[in-house]
Amino acid sequence: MYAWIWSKLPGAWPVKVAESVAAAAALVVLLFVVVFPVIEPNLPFNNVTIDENGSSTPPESAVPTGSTSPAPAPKVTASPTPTIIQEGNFPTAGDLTGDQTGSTEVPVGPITITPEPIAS
Amino acid sequence: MAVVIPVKVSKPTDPLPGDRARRAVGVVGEVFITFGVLLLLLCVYQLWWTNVQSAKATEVARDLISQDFVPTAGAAAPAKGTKPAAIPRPTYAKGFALLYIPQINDKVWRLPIIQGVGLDVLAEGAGHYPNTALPGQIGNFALAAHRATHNEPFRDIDALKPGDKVYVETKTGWYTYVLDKYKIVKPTDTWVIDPVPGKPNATPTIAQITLTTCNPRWASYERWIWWGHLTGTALKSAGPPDGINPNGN
Repeated sequence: MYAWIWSKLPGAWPVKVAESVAAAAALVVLLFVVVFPVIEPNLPFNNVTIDENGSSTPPESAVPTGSTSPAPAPKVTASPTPTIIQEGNFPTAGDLTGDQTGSTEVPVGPITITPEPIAS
Repeated sequence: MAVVIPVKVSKPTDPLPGDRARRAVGVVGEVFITFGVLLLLLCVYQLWWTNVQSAKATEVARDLISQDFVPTAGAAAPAKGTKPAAIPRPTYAKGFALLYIPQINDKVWRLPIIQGVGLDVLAEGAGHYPNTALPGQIGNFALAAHRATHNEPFRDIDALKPGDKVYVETKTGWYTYVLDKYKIVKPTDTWVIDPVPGKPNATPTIAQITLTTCNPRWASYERWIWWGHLTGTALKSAGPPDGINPNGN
């Protein structure tokens, strides 16, 4: 294989050496920039997240700021799959009297999350 | 009288007996060697190049967040009171906070916290699970970061101990969490980032933090989880908590 490539390279042998080095360097760049980043998510040894939805955003709506009524508690359905993850941000009535400026999103109804492995 | 025996002299271009087989074996060997070299290059990429790239990306993300922290000229005075103003829920891939863990400060010091846990985000710092609480909020502020490759921010996660402090700096405030316990779980245990971990139906009453990364370090068939709870909140104007110098280390 390599003998065949060598025979096909044009020029005298010093030129061939230079061409070989350039070709190898180009191959390494291609691997590092294109190939390895593509296959990396499929490698088994650097997943750090627990399965969570990375793609589908759960329906959310902002509770009007200044509202003094407590946010409704999220309904969580205890079905085995899909997994339910509930929004962690539930302002209490006390919180809402303060300086909340838009962080009072709460989910409306159950949030359905399809487990989807996230590689990283 | 000499007898001339005709001998068939093979021309150099004619294949010798067994030549074809020999050439085939040679090609197979070269393919194997090539494959081995590719695997070595993949190791170089993972162990070295991703760290180089991520270190750069982390620096960029950190600068963006730092710029964001600078109060806008002519903006309204910082909120009065003792509680920092809540920050808006960031959009995906937006950095919104910095993480400090003194015990592992060579890796986690002004580490960008970025919304989302996609690979692109995790290459720049710690990812914030998008549907979990924000810093200081009641609920569970859940983060993920690499433990190996990509600048490996949580490389020394196993060096942490209960009682160690975790500081989070946002545009408006400083939040101090104290680590309580760790657990090694399955990758599918999504309950660990529930508002009340392990109690899916419970309404949270305290602000917690969760750190997730892979375990074992060079494999990832498990996840290492740290939980902690909020112990201190301070306005940005009050300066960093004791022991934190944002410009140091």
